[in-house]
Amino acid sequence: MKKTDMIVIGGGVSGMISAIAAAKRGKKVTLLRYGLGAFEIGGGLIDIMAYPQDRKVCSAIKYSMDKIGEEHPYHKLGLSAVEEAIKFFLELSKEENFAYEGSTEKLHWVPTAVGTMKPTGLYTKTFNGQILKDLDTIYLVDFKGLKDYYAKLTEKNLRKIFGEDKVYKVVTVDPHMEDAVGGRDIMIMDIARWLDTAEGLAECSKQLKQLVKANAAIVFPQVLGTKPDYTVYETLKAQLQCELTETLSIPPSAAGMRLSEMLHNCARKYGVKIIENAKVIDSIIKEGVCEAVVVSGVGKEHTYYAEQFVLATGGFYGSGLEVLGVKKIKEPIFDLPITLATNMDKWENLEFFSEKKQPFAMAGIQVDHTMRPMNHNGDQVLNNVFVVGRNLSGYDFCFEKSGNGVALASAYQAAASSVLGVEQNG
Amino acid sequence: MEKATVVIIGGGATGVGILRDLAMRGVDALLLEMRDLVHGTSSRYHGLLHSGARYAVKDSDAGRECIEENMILRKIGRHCVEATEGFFVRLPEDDPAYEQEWVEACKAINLPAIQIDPAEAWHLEPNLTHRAQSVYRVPDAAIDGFRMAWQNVDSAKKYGGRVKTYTEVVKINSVNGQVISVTVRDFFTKQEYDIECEFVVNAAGPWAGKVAGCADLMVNVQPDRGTLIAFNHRLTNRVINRLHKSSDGDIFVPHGSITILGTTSAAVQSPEDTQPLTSEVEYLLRIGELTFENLRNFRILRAFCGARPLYSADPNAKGRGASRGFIVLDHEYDGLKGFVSICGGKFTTYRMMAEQLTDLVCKKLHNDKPCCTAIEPLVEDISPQVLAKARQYFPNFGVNLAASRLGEDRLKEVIDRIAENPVKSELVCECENVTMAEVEVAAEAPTSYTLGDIRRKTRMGMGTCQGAFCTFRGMGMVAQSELIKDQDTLQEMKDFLQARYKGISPVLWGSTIREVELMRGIYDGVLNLDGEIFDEKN
Amino acid sequence: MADQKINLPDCCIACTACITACPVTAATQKFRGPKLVGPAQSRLHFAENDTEASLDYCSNCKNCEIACPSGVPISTLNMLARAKYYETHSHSQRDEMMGHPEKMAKLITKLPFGAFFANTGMEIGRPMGIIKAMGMADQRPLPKYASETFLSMFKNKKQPASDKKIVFFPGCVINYNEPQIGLDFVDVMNKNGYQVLVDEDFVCCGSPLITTGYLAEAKENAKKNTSLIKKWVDKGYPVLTVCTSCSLMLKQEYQELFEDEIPHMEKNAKHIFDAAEFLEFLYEKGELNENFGEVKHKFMYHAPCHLRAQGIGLPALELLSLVPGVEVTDAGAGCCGISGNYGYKAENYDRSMKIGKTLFDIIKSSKVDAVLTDCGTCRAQIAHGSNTETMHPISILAKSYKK
Repeated sequence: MKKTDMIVIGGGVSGMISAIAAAKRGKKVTLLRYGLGAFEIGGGLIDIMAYPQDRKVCSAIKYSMDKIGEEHPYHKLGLSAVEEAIKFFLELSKEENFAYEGSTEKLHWVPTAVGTMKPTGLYTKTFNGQILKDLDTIYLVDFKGLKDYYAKLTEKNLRKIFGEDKVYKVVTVDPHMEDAVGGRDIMIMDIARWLDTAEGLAECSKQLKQLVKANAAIVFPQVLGTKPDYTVYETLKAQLQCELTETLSIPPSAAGMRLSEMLHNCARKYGVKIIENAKVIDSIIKEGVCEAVVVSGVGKEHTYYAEQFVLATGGFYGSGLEVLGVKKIKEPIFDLPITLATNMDKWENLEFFSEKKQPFAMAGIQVDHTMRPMNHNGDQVLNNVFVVGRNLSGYDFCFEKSGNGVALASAYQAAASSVLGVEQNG
Repeated sequence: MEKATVVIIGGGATGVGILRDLAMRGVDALLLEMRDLVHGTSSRYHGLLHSGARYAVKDSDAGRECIEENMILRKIGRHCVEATEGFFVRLPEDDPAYEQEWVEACKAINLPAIQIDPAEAWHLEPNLTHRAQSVYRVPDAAIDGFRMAWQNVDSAKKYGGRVKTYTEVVKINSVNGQVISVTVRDFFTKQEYDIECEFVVNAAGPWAGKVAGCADLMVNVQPDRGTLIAFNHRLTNRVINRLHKSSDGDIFVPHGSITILGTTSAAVQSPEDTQPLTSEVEYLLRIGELTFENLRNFRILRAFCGARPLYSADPNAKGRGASRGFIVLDHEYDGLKGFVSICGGKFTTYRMMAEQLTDLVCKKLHNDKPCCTAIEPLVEDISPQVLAKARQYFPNFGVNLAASRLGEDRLKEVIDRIAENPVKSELVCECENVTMAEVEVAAEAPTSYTLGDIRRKTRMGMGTCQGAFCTFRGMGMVAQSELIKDQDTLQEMKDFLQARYKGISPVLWGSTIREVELMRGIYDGVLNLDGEIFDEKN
Repeated sequence: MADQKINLPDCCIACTACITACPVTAATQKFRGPKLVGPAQSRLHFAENDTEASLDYCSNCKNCEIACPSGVPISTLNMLARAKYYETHSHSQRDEMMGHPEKMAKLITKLPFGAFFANTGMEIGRPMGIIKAMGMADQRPLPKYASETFLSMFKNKKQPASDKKIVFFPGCVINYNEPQIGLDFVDVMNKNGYQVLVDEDFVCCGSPLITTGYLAEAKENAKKNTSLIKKWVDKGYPVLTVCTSCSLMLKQEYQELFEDEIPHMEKNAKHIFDAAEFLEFLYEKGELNENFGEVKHKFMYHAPCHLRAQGIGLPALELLSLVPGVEVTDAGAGCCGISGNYGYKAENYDRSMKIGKTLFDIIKSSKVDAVLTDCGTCRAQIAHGSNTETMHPISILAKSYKK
């Protein structure tokens, strides 16, 4: 049977990054994806680390590795592996003409739709909280009929953070989406798609020009286009002569769609073969080596053979980890051993916004520094399988604000490990 | 100083029933509820309007009361009662001898229990187990506790009845053994003030003991906790009961788009002990899956619990031993005129309990107007013209549900708002089809202080996503139009999510934990509602 | 969790992935969107006898199902809701025609020169406004009928005998409109040592019946096709088709729509293949005839949505890469907009062209003169929207084998 070099299971951030990184190193990669990943939920930024232990924000990861527990994937990777992954991503984004910024040395604060600020790591310049500190006049843009954004709510809470000395003004743009009445309510994605069009962008700019004065900060919902380029941002910035920032909000995330398309284009460019709607349900393992994975397919199963495999199936969301009951988790493809949260007998905290991480969120698969899965004795389980992303044990991405960062770093390392054929060493 | 002739303490089924009856008889009555209406037991049970069949054998009086009140409530409460009918199903695990006894007992109280072929039952209810040995049809129905309460209040308001929510009674004041006023505390401002009154009715359910304590009297109410599960799906169109001696987990009740399975029984210290446990859920599933074999394949939306107010003159009686009947205590016998407590009872007979209590109070007030609560409907039917108009503006599949929630007046208000500004037909809650206009009307009500209050009036956040999207939209809308004054919007959203999570945390598996990961991803991961934020001013 | 066929709408967590992927949602604000119209509303159907006004906008392209992480068969829920609507409402004349291409074609081909007159009639009918009056889009040409059906031509086709046999399910488009593709397919299979059998009793897979709300009729077709396919499967012969909508319908949609109502569907599906899928299987086992002659040409390939939904990747693209001289790029532009008979309806035309615009622009700027795609209606849409020639990839393979 024909065999490819690497099969990546899962098309989210970690799957895409492993595939691209491996392909760039000369591997023939097939990516099997079911669903679209969590791009349009998690948003398009790369959170690295902000709350390592409790709700107190730390300095950027470069200076807070000591606060990160042993069981955390970052600890297994080590700071320099994380930094290499970040370098890789920044270069990739530049190559795709959609440059991200940021580093391991500084947290970057971005505003959210509820008027809080959220610390992230790598970001596109459309998310810029700094302008709210620097400038004295802040406009907040509402779009008529947009039900997924309320500038007054944003203003109310940003005011508490940035103080009463600034001028805050809500302005409203009318996107003329009359078809929406009685049809589909207007979401952020619709406005973003409207701005993708030349007519929409021109109309929006024209309306805003009447409403805002130059040299101010303008806070937008996440609508500056759905494509991985800065056209909408640059155009509005130039025409309005203001600094702009988007806000993070509820799904579907336009910034997530941009990141998804950027990675997708990059993967295609490097010859990654992507198979959609392919749910991997099983694996064929002989003597500790995975030979193939089985896709349930439509009607019949398909078997795909490869030298190496990357498990990037995510956590509960995409059923990469199936939760059959309290503390009963199954990894359905390789049946990998699951590690529950250490020192935590409970399955859940009674508080949704608990002071400490949620035990159920920390459950997953334990790996060594090469990202190969381990059992509870510390032995490597499968030599040619790597585990990356959300299904790793030892971290709570919602609490820490570390989701895409762990995905990126673990995926990059897995690709590196696969190429070096690095053998496990405790 | 504010005043009322009668102050009713407790906004549960009994309290709102009494408010309505007093108001209809022309008595100036004010109901005080420490949180939102039906905060207590009356929203935390399976919502079953008993046919009485459940009590026929063991307590035929209760059974008789139930069937009578069932018929009355179907008539007066057409818009909060769903006439689903019910089945009693005997399984191989159930004692066949009990069936005969039960059939006789139903006959004795004039309860129509009609036997049908199990094959027909399976045809009507495809999810029902094929192990069913015998099946009987009974006139059970489902009642929506929230709607029932608000409809009683709406009806009472027509007659001058008044309600204050988030107002807790902390003291009952008297002079020379006669009640003169109550001292209350506002939940939000923490301010205390007095309300002058002649009469106080203690209808505080499991808190009745606490309220009696405000008058330095003792009433032995034993809170008994019952846990229930809500499934995300209407897995039966009828109430399904096990045909056996009443016990735990033997009732399934459909409510709109969900199904409730309950319940359990355990004595607890405080009626505030309402955190459901995974062990209780597991216990209910083990029982329930005998009736619906594929039960575990259905998604559990949440679990919840309420405290039954079991009264016993004997302070040591607990659990199912203590009576489920009700009692009226006239504290004149304890030396305090103008104070009565009503304890125990069940939801199905609330109207009758209220009637008896009101008879007593009215006698003391020398008011001899007759009780009409069994005759006049809670709300009028919505006129076909208004319904037709609603269809022009409401989203599909959204008219009937909204109409029965809102009643004609509020429905008209909502329609007018949408007609004036079509943007208001947009959905705040996509899982339960709740429009912006409806949320607006609910938020503007003087009894709406929190997102939770809006939720209870509209069903926002009670569907599949359990608030993952409507928490944000609801808060945004309310803040945008400043519908509720002086809100800490971040805390409000956190509170709303916490209340949702309380019922989800015991059932964290399957699709339910996937939903929680989404909720956490949005409100914690992306929106950072609770993380420390650098303080710009410093 | 994937094994729970019971109550799949229960698995929806309202993640909105389907909304971002739906091409109709991107093209019009009037469609309530897959999440609302599908799983969300299905929870509320008990409340009243109502219909979703925008249900007609769903094109059944399956992009929502490709996007869904929870396995909810969203567009199938929509088709079932559509069928329910037509239980109490009557179909238009236009729907009668659009839903029954097989019936129409059978009538036409019975007449002498029937195809010629039908084609002429359609061409004349367009500028005369007759097509438009019937509710069909007159901006695009209607599919022409071939002068001879595939089944008829197949009768005269000589094939080398072989013990290795496959059964061909041609489908309406191949049989009545593009029979040459069917013949090319036979050639390709012959070159791989297979003899092609044909079952004249096969009926329309039912896809146009489903999308137009004729569920009961589609079920009759499904029953008939399923029992015929079973007969062949029992003999050990796989069943192949070159139309990606037929293969999706036979492999999966039958089971989604008629779960537990028709026996043997699940077993049959294991033996039903898209032609390129089957050839790719041969390739992976090292059994494909790789004596491809040079076909020096630059093509673009368009992946039909119903192929992407099958979870087998793009096998035709893989096979084309084996043909020397062929330069082919995947357009990667999503839905072409036609989705079966959807784009032929007058009220859908503009939207269908809007959906396909990205694809048309990519094709035009690539300056290729021929686009390859495995779906008949995609071929028509692309030809119309980008003014290029369109072909089935199997025809390139056939051409290559001849060299």
